[in-house]
Amino acid sequence: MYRSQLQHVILEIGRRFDLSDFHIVGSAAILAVLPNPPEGALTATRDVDVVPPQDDERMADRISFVLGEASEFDLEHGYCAQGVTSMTPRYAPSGWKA
Amino acid sequence: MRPPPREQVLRLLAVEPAGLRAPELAGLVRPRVSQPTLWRILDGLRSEGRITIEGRGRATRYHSASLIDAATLRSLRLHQCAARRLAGDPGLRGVVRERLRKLREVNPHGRVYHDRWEALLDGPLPALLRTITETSEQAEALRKESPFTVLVTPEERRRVFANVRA
Repeated sequence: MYRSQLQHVILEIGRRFDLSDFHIVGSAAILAVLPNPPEGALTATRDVDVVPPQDDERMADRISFVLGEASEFDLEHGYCAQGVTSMTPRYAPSGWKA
Repeated sequence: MRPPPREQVLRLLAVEPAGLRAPELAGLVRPRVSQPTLWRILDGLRSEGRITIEGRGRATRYHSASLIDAATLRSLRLHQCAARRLAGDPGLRGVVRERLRKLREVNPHGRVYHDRWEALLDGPLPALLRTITETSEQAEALRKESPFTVLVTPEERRRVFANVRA
């Protein structure tokens, strides 16, 4: 995945779900920190894991349905988003959202 | 000494890759627990993200989230739909190859996975179908960069999303 694709996914989430604040976790998050990371397992991903505000599970499901695997968005662009909750990054350090 | 029922439920689910239904769990937990107690345990585990739920009503199956989370289970079910279509019409490999070409363009960093799918597409159909639907870490990783969901109909996808939840 490229940074421009991550930006596209972020913009679509904001536009379609009227969200201005959410977290990106998982391997795609490296693109937010390093614009051109070295090619490897982290950049091989084509999906973006998104934690909605307040860990809203229904919103996470909606994101997965609208922008997730095999969605129209995925079929058109070749990359997608997956709604998850804060429980997904199980080994993240405490206070990682701060 | 037996572990508490909640722990027993987690252990039972952790050794059942296909998941278990509530009546099956009730029949295995000792000493026996009432149905409301079992619901409370399952509700608690769900709110902690420890189990994945599939299906509705009496057909509901519970999976250990440590074995398979909702996203992974959805992906597996989508790929099972794709595999069924491919088994019925092997000519659909052409559609899949086209999708694979697009994924290569969009995400060149996924080359390792694309090459593996291409080799499988060139090989015998049974091996391909087995890999698409396999429940292994390697197959799960491959499915993340898979061209096969192009074969899933919107209705099949809607059904999978309605059935599988965290």
